[in-house]
Amino acid sequence: MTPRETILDHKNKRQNNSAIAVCMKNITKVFPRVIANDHVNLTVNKGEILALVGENGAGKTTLMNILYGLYLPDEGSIEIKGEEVRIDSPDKAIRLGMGMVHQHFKMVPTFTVTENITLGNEPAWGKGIFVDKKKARAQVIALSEQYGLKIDPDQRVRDIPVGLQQRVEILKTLYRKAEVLILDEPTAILTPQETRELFNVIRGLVRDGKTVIFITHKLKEVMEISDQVVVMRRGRVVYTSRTQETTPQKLANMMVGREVLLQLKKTPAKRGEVVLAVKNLTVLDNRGLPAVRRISFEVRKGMVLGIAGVEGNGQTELVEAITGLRQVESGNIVLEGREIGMFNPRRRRELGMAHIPEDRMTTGLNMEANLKDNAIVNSYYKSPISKLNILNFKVIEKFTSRLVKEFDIRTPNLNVVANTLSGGNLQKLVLARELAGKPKILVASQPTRGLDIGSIEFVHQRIIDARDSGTAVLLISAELEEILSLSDQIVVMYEGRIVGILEAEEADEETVGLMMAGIKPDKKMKDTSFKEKPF
Amino acid sequence: MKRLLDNETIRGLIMVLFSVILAMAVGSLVMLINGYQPLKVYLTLFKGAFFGKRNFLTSLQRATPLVFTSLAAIFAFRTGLFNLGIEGQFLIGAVIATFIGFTISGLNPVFHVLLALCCAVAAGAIWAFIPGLLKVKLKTDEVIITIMFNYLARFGVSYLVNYPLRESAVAPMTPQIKPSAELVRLAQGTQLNTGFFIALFMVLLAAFLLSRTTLGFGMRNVGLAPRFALFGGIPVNKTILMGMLLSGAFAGLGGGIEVLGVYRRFMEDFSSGLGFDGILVALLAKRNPLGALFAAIFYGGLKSGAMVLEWTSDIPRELIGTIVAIIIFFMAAESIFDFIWNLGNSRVKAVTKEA
Ligand SMILES: Nc1ncnc2c1ncn2[C@@H]1O[C@H](COP(=O)(O)OP(=O)(O)OP(=O)(O)O)[C@@H](O)[C@H]1O
Ligand SMILES: [Mg+2]
Repeated sequence: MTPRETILDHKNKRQNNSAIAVCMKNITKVFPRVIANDHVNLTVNKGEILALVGENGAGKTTLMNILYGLYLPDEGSIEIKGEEVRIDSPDKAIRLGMGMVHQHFKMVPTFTVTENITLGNEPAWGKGIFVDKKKARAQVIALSEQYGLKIDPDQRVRDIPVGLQQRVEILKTLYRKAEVLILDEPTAILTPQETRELFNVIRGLVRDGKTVIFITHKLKEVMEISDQVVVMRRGRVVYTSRTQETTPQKLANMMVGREVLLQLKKTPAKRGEVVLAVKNLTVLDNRGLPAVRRISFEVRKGMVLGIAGVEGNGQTELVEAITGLRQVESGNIVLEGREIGMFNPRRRRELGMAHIPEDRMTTGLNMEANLKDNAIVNSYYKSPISKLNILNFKVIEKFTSRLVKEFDIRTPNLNVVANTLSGGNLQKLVLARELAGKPKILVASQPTRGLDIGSIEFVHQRIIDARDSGTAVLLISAELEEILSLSDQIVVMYEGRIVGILEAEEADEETVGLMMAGIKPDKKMKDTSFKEKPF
Repeated sequence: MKRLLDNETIRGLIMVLFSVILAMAVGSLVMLINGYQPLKVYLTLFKGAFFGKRNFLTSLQRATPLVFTSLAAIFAFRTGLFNLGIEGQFLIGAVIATFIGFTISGLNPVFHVLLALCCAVAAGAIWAFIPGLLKVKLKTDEVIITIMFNYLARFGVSYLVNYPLRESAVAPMTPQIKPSAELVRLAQGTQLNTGFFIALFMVLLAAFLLSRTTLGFGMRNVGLAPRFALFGGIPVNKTILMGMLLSGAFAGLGGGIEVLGVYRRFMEDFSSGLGFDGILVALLAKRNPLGALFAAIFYGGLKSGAMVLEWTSDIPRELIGTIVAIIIFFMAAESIFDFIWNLGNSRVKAVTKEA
């Protein structure tokens, strides 16, 4: 059967299992001292959604990179639509109908949406010398309407939020006529609302006859969207099932190899004195417009204050201002009674601040440096890491290996460059470093983004432990569940303002969800956006 | 699973081998077109560079200033800075060392040399520090400012040797330095001097500074990931200033050693191009101090080999220059493209506020 016939014959029929879009056989990929894929077999049915899950470093991204021609496998073969192929470059993969949206995007930030989508395949005139910009723009608009992926074709990619950047990435693959879409943890950076929209898009794509491979750590999503699910562990496929025939518990078990407590155990917070106070804070975004508008709140010793809000409502700028990466326009940031708004990050850290940034690739880590350099960036000038300005390699080695062990960071050794680590393991490295000291205030932005469920459980416990030993925690997360399960008090932000402050007991998904959309709650909640008095 | 050599290393070795062969091939082609025998020319070139005591020592002498200028380039590169003013810093260091060398007399030789070199270091450092300061305070581009400072240095120095410090009526040059300020020559018939040992020591010092100290740690992180550096608590602006300062210090020291050891007076245009050659050597060495030593000897060797070739054959010097350039270019091609790309793109920016 040729592919064309398949599409025509089986349009709108998802139960067609006979046609196989992709078949990977016995794939093995070895990196220096790591077997990333160990004789992996993967079959993807045409017109279906396959969910690929597994713990951090299991080899999911590597497997998909092989399918997309970024790596050649050391062993094994790939068949696409029943024909054996050798995919030795992304170009080849694209010609074979593959499209991939990477875990960490690969776009040109200064280019417009249209330019990024059409890059390399621009419609041309004058013997292909000039780019036909009008036509490119029209094509992009048509494509975005066809699949319900709303974007502004003229904006620069660096100016749009990550959720939209992802749409641009998806449109880019569709522009290149992808038949099989590989989405590597697309929902890690999305809000629940955006995730729902993405799922609608995915369903539309499948209705159109396309095939989707979808990597995620969220089992709820697996159950909701996929037809087939494959679990990987330590480079191997350990479980394959039709989605209807399995349960989240079963999947969790297969992923981590043990029972996962999906419910966090925590005792009520013992709140102490105020550690961090933000008063009438206004912060500007990159374009010079106010992103945070006269916000006030307090975080006390021994509590977790969660900031909920749809991404792009000023949280990023707020965190950057608090941690010293962005200038304060007006207002105060006070740490233990001391104004710190003018201090650089080093001084803030010395006063007891730790920071888990939302962007691990450019802020949280030096991707070109080895794990040891990354582990000591906040302590390199202190004894015993260095003495008299001379680094003590032995101590550094010991310190780093302790972090690696404690957080189960999967790495062949400490000398590898950070960018060889898997996404989740990178995140763990950031967490390990920032939680290592005993911070007075921990500013944690999207702390579990990209982590597998076992690691999330572990990290949540570590955050609660830090709280119980007296750390004040400011938690910022797009993950509403995370906010609700960790926080003792919740601030909801909308368009740079505080919609309301809730105690943990009065917060539930629905109330907070409404507030995140900017809808003020009814009388039972106190309006604290102007007079701040949490309790 | 263990492997002796990973793919990356093998690829690197193959790349080097390949570029050497390619360079030789292209060079051969140029020679054949011009009617010369490539094999004979290459043989003379490499013999002239490294065979025989005199040739070899001359190569080392020519490598000495390059070691300093390439270390200067490496310190800037590692910090993510493009110090194109090494030439000027070298000149300033040279002229100050000469001045100390011929004005003061009656000093113990050790002190005299030390004093002259310290002044050269300070002068080079200051000359690089100013563009650094402008970058940190006013956000000016260090590439433009350092190039401007090259002109300033060149004109300033030219004025000095033409008027106030001029001795000879025939040529623009200063008086000879006092014997007490001279660096001792190591062998008859060559100009190789104790400056080479200082160069060796500086290579080790640079390697140590870059890999083992907190300053080196700050530099490489500011250079590779400036936002991460700021976030993690590395004082970015201070590190930028230190990067420029050290870069200039090495350049100034190189200038001082060149006059005290080789020329023993300052002559106009004596060093032309050594600063930029240093950048090339640094690229050839992949920004590694130990590599820079070997790359400088290689480069210095090619230059002195070219001289021998010029004397002993009828090949025009322009053609010899072309062939040397081809060899260097192919060996450093990757780094050179990188360099040009970075020049226009991602460079370290100073931080807005640092309280
Ligand atoms: N380029 C590389 N060089 C060396 N090792 C690598 C490279 N890429 C991946 N690895 C290793 O291969 C293993 C699998 O990584 P991979 O990125 O495929 O994991 P993953 O399943 O996508 O994990 P995550 O859920 O954390 O994204 C990891 O242990 C990683 O360290
Ligand atoms: Mg991954």
